[in-house]
Amino acid sequence: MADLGKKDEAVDATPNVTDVETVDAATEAEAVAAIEAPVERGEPILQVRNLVKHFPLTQGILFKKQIGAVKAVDGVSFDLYQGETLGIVGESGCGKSTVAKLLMNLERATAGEVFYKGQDITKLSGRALKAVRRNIQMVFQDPYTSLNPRMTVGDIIGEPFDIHPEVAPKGDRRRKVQELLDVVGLNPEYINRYPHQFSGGQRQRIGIARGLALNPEIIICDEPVSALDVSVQAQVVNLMEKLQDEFNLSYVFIAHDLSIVRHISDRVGVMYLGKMAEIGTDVQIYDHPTHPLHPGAAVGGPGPGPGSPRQPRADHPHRRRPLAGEPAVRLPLPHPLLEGAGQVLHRDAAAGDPGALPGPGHPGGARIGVPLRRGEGRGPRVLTRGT
Amino acid sequence: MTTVDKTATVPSPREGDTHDGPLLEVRDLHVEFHTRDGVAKAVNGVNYSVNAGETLAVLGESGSGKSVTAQAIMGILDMPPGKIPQGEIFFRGEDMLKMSYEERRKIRGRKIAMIFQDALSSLNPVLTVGYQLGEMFRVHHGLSKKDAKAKAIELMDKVKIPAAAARVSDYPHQFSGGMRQRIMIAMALALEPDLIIADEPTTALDVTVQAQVMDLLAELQREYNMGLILITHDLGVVADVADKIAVMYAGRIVEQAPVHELYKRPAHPYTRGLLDSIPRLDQKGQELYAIKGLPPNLLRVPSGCAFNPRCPKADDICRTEIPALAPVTEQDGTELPGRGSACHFWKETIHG
Amino acid sequence: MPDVTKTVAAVEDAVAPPSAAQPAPAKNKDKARSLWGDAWQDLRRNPYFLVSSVLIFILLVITAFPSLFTSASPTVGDLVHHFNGKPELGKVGSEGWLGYDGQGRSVYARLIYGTRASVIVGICVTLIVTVIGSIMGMIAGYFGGVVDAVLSRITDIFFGIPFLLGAMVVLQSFTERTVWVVVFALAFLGWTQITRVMRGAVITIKQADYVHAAKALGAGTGRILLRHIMPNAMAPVIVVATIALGGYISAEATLSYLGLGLSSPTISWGVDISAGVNQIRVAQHILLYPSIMLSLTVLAFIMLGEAVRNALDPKLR
Repeated sequence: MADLGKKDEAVDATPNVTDVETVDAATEAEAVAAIEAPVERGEPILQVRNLVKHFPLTQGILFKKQIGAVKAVDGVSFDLYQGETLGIVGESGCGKSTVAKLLMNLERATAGEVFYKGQDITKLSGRALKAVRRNIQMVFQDPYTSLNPRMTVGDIIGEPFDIHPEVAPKGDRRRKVQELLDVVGLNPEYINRYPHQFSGGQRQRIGIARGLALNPEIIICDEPVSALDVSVQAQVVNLMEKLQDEFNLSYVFIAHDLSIVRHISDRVGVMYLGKMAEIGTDVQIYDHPTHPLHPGAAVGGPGPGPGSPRQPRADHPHRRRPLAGEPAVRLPLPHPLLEGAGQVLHRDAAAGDPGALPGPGHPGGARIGVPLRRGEGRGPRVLTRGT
Repeated sequence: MTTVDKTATVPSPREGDTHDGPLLEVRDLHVEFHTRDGVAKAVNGVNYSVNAGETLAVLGESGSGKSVTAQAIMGILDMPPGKIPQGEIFFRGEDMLKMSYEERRKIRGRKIAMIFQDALSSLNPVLTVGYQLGEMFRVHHGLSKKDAKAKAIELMDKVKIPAAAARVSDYPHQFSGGMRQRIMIAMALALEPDLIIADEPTTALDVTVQAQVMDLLAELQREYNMGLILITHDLGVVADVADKIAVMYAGRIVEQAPVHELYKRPAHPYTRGLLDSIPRLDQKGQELYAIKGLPPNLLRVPSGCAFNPRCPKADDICRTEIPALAPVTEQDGTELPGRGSACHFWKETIHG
Repeated sequence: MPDVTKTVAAVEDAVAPPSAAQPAPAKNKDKARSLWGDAWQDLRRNPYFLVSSVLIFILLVITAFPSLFTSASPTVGDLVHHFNGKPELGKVGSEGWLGYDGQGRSVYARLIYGTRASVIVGICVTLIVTVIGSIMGMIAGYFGGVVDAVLSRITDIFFGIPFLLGAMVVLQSFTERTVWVVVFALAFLGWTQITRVMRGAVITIKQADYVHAAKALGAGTGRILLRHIMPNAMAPVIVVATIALGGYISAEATLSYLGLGLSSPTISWGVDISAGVNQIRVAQHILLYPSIMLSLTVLAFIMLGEAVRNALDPKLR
């Protein structure tokens, strides 16, 4: 991939991220101007600080009383550099999809900021927000629900131009749509077909074409290949990499398939229980995991090592080695639901056996005290803040 | 953690177990679906067999016919629109397709059990898991409520659900995905079937949990000496657990091999393509190998070898003649037991 | 080995559909087919749909041009025929075909002219109800929260009023009960069903990724509602509305029969059924034919609704 200045250095992550150079825009026009300004390759383009999303749990029908909260995202910070791919992995329920929705401003954050070119997009509205929307796009997981079944492919890919008419003059749109179809590897003559006439992989290409239409700078990909057939996944990953080079895109690539995340990402963040447990280059994360989530996770993904293209398959490197115990297995409800579960775990950990923890990891990989798992009959482990 | 007492209940040989061929044998099975747009040929002549104590993994993408075959074996195919125009399914030497409805019903659940992908929708949300597990014993063995509950706890222990006695009265939604899948496994085991068919049992689970569930299945299979058919699309999941693998494409088995052989030396371009498209470390930053084209439309399966439009080795013969599943041999002609490839160019694929 | 190959190929040929049948679906596939287009393909081959649509077409023509079907007047009676008017079934379409009523008026002519009231009530009520119900349901479903709570409770209140009883009360408060008053009374109470269906559909659809995608593009509420949510939520509404249409026609007849709906001189099947009951011992045909017409009409709309439902059901595709 591109040689990003920071790539091989230790990248600080939660909570020690760099300071954000904020832009104070007095007027909407200034805000829009700041959003339109280009960003140098390797500079941070998106900076997320202490992002929190709690879904309140309420009781009562008429007089609603909040009895707790699902802490879907509980203080996530990271930087996305221009031109890089940041992978975010985690188990189901760890909050990674909610992060995607928050970055897209599809959900309102409970707290925290998302700085895009120095402006907090969670506080924008009107024209400025619309300008941000043009520059941050999304590719969805399920190609069967992400395309309106009653619109033709031409309407779907052309809709961005209807919403942002300034991008393409009206007479030009059909040609633009056909160009986009061509770019994502579909026959431009398919413009009048409907989504259900396509297979899953083709639909995902349509979704990508829609995301590209406005020429965005960032694309948030929420599990873009996990709903696709194995033989098609590689095609879509290749397409996304090709487009990144061609259009100078930055990706946030959310997935649970670690081998694909590792392949496509410059840096990888690991989310656990709504927090960013660790973030670093793929080598830091996969080869020197400081987080016991990985022994299972990291081994599960990557294929054979260099220099032995086929041989190691005999030892079936693809198999996922079991990680003893299931996350939060004793807890009666999915983990993020539990108010105060974290505290309990912390207390347990204090009494637990810190010797069982992996030693301090590589320098620079940021670690925070996140409860890791509640094993069956084993004391929960916790990582303390690293070196 | 519950340890399984290995000295206890060693399964005695099953009664009536006089048949000595394979436990299950599928012969030339065809399944088609009559839809508005025409006849979708989902399964086009599948042959495979499973012995007691053996695990067969059936690998394929969506539309390969892997699940439809399993549904035909279970007798849970929706007919219509489904239809089995041809083929035989022998269970202990008897063709199940010729059995009466009542005979088949007796086999289902008792002799052949199935585990589905989505454990949550397979469990009744308003009944406790203990009740649902115990139901088997109450209905089939006429046990009392109390005894059935004890049996349920025993089963939950068996599938390593921690604190089974305490959790027997919990409802399905109170369990995590992996635990629910364990409960499904416990239900399948309840009547000690001879064969379990697991249709994508770990697909809906987190990566970290998949291996646990897979290992549990393998362990129980050994313990009960059952036959196991594992249906999956994930090459990684089955590597350790299966004895042999059948790779399906467009309703046909394109390659069959003992599990390690398949990973080491695929003898069909499709299998090779699947293995090659898994991202590898030394390829980072490069383009991934990708099988070109799209999975076939079952309404219009390409003539000849169904894989020919996507195959890098395709030649004229591939477009006209359907390759049979031929035995695969070493270069010097030594037979490779259990291997077969339905490719005109299997020699080049495995040895070239 | 080559032998084996051949056998398999032969087996394959035996199972394969005749090759001539192959190109046809292929050609079909290359066309753009919308979901409605697909549903139409399905409907065209559905005998229920064909029968019901032919019936409904005839009804609509009768509604528009009753004089094409009979030259007799529905209001002019000749007392010569009073209770003498047994049907002359051989003379199809003639004035006396289906006999005469107590006042010597042609039953056939009254049947033809009575269609208009029933069909107008059915169609108008359905249209009004669909528009009001869809808007209410869409607002409640899309905005949720307090808006939903308020609208849903209002809907519940109206839903709680027994339909016919409520309509009677409404009609009681009018001195002159024309077709439009009946339409008002039925629509006043009928919109709740559509609201509920619409609200449910919208709540499901607004969580679809394509709605998120439109929002992510910066689409406004209007565009999301009109371009994305409404076209997808309409299918169940259309089905429910079509089936309900038959129900409104029979509700009109019921109200007229009870003397609370339309009344003479307005011509309606309900009015005639009501009159026919009084003479059931002497002249059954006065009751019989309007009842048959009413049943056929209601059946036609219900069959149409069911056919559309089956055609739109995604599970069958």
